[in-house]
Amino acid sequence: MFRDGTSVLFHDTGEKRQHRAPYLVDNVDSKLVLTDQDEVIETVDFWERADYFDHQTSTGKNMQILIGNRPQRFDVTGSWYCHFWDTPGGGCKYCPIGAQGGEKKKKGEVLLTDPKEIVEVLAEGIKQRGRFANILITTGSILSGKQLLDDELNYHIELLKEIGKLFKTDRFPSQLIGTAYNREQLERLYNETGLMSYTADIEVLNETAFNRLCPGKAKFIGYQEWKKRLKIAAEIFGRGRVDTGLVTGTEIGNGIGFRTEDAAFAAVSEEAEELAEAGVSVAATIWQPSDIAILKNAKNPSLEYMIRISREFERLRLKYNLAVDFDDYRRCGNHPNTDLARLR
Amino acid sequence: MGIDESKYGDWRSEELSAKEVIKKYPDVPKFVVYKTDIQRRGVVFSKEAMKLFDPKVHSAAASCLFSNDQGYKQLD
Repeated sequence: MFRDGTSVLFHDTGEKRQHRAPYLVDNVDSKLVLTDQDEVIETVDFWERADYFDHQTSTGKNMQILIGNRPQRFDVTGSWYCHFWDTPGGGCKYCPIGAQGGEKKKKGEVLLTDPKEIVEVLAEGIKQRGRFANILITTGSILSGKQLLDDELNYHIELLKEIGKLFKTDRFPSQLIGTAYNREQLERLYNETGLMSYTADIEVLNETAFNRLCPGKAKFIGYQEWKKRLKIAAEIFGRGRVDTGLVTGTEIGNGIGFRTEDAAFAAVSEEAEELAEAGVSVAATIWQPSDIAILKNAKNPSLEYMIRISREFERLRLKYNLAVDFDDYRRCGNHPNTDLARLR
Repeated sequence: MGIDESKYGDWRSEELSAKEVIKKYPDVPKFVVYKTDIQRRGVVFSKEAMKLFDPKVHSAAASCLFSNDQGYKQLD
């Protein structure tokens, strides 16, 4: 964490990165500092353990194992497997979930966590005053059910109903990252639970790149349908209560997307504006190729491109008067572009 | 202990540095620029840095579907 409270999440980094040297966090005069080329950039800190980490559930499980967290929110993960990977290569090509999920599937760890067990941990976790501002819920995509995605939806509804019992208000601080549901499913999600905000990650704002990067999402739902469902979600949950996650940078190069950063910026901006006009924000995650993803040897774009994208998305939120307070620095902390919302 | 820059070629001459980006876009806080660049380039922790990690106080990894869940990677 930086000294202004900005949190920084990162994946499995190491010196093995092929394209650029990583930063080094070092100890200088007993202070933790971020360095680059032996120059101290800033003081930083580790984030703190949550109080509930020291507790066990009534069945003797370590609460720390059941629910993870960031400095600002609980991370409730219903299952660790994404069923787009049921078809070899069907998952998103930059995503580490496939390899991780595959290992967990072999170990039989893909079953959905019991909602009552999750709520037992949350009940303990929210006793820590001032720490947690949001509850993030997600599972890997589950395609089965009476309609496509019904099993995923039904699990989330059951879980949200249980969590809702912890709160006195009809709605409670919460974000669901789900697959893109249809109108009927979105209406059920909104009407049957106290969920406050909804996210369905389109991953990349370009149809050609989407089809190449996310073959499972393209096959079962499709790019245009995904966007349509996001707009429907904004009608139901309200403007500024819906967003979509991008893995920023995957739209450029590597035989997948645009050849230049300028071309990518123009196209992505246009599509982001279409979504913003309909009440949907965009949350940009910074792509760093994962060692266990299909695109492990790819090169991500320049820092300047990433910053231009962040500025543009904030400009669009201001232009269309969109709040993003369910996915900002205080409730998520993983998107530099939504960090900019604290400047308003 | 520093990073062995010789492994990575001349990439620094091909793009703006974080300092240059901060100067070019003064409306963006430097913390947001460095956060972005850390996520883009990656980060490692020295052995000396990890001596400041107290497992009774600090948390080592975000346990989330979207993370690799491997915690802070220490420089060997």
